[in-house]
Amino acid sequence: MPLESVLLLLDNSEHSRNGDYPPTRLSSMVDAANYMAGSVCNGNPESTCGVLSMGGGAQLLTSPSDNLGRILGCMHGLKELGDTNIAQSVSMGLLALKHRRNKNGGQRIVVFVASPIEEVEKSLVKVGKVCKKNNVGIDVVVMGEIEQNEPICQKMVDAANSNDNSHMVTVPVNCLPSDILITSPIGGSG
Amino acid sequence: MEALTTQTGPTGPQTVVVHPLVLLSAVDHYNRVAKDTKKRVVGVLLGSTHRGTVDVTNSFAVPFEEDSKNKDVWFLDHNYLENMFNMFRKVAAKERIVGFYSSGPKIRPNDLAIESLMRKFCPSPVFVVIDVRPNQDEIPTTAYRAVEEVEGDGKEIQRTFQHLPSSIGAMEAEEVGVEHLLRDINDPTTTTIANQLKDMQKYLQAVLDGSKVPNQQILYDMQTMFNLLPNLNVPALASALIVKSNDMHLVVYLASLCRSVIALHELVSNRIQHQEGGQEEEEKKEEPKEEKKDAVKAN
Repeated sequence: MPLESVLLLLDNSEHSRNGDYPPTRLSSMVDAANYMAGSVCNGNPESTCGVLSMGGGAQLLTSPSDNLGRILGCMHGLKELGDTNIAQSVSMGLLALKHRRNKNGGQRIVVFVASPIEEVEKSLVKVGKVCKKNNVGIDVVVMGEIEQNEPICQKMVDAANSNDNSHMVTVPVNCLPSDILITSPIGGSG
Repeated sequence: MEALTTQTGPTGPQTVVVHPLVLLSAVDHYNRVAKDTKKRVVGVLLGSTHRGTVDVTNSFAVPFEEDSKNKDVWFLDHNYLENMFNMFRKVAAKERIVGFYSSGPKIRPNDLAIESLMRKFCPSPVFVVIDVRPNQDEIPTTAYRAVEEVEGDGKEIQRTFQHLPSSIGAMEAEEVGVEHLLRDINDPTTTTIANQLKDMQKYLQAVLDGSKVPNQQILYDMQTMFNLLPNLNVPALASALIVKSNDMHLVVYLASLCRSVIALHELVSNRIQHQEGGQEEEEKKEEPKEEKKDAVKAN
């Protein structure tokens, strides 16, 4: 697996309390994020992974690091609060990736969306274009509110896509996101 | 390491003393990273707290960046902070994280968010704005701490920054170092007493001309200063001073007189000694000459 730096954006807004993905959206999301972090860090010894929580104002939980224990630890105890602002969180993720240790390798942002997107589509497309300019791929995992979010996320992914580095994956209700990720281009091949 | 309560009021930090090393590090940090740009730099302050006085003795820089267009987007590397602090702990175990600094020159809206991040490392972090611009008049540090204020209608608890008095202090070794540095800088603009007196004169002249409004506090302070000067017109004081200096002069005169007499005495006795020694030598020389003459006559 090639060297890469990945930033995981978790949606811990109030909507993640919902139990339509067992046991709650947030727990299944954290499981999937754990799997992603594991596959990234084990794929290449120099790959780094960072975590950012979007609920209630974007907050960087850990900057890109290769210490799996640290990554898993900071996701533990995450609470649901507030609303998500995807454009702001992706901008913060871009800043965090800019300061990564190893400047070689690809950059990726994986966004877990589990709440209805309240933002204007234009701002998301704009942030997608900034990602494309910086050569950062955006992968979106849509859980819940699928009909509302899917077209908007697709637009963002298309805006950021260059050489097929951005994908969108939809997780149908009652499935485990981690299972879906393993078989998708996001988790499987990076 | 998260603290549950924020210490405010009499138990939290009350004053901040910043050591010169911290100022030097902050300026160096700014020069390395953001010189001539509008960006600012952020770093961590180390030191100790004692009875409300926060003594800031050391500091280090952390990678920090903020988006100039969007004020909510900023990045500060936590891993770097923790690793660096662990390394510093190995060198000086007593130093703790007491707060953070920014090169300012003013407070920005992100600082509250940075402060809540620093609360993970320290119960009540102080925020010091170190002004790295040269040629400013006041001391370069302004210290703040975050306090909780209840909004007008009691809905939200807002955190805002409250100003703390700060000063520059140094331990003896540091003072010697600073003095050493200043000696090399023959900067005419560094404040000396003479320059300060000139400033006072300019101010009083401006007040007389009417271009400045007289500030009562300044005038009171100046009056107190002049009151503390001794009054040399009192005859008793003048005569006492003169008598004392005359006594001193008398003693010095007598002493130098004695010295010169003793020196002359030694010179004379030395001369006599040499003269007697010279006569003896002459006599000794004449004897062998006479013997020679006798020997020649005999032959």
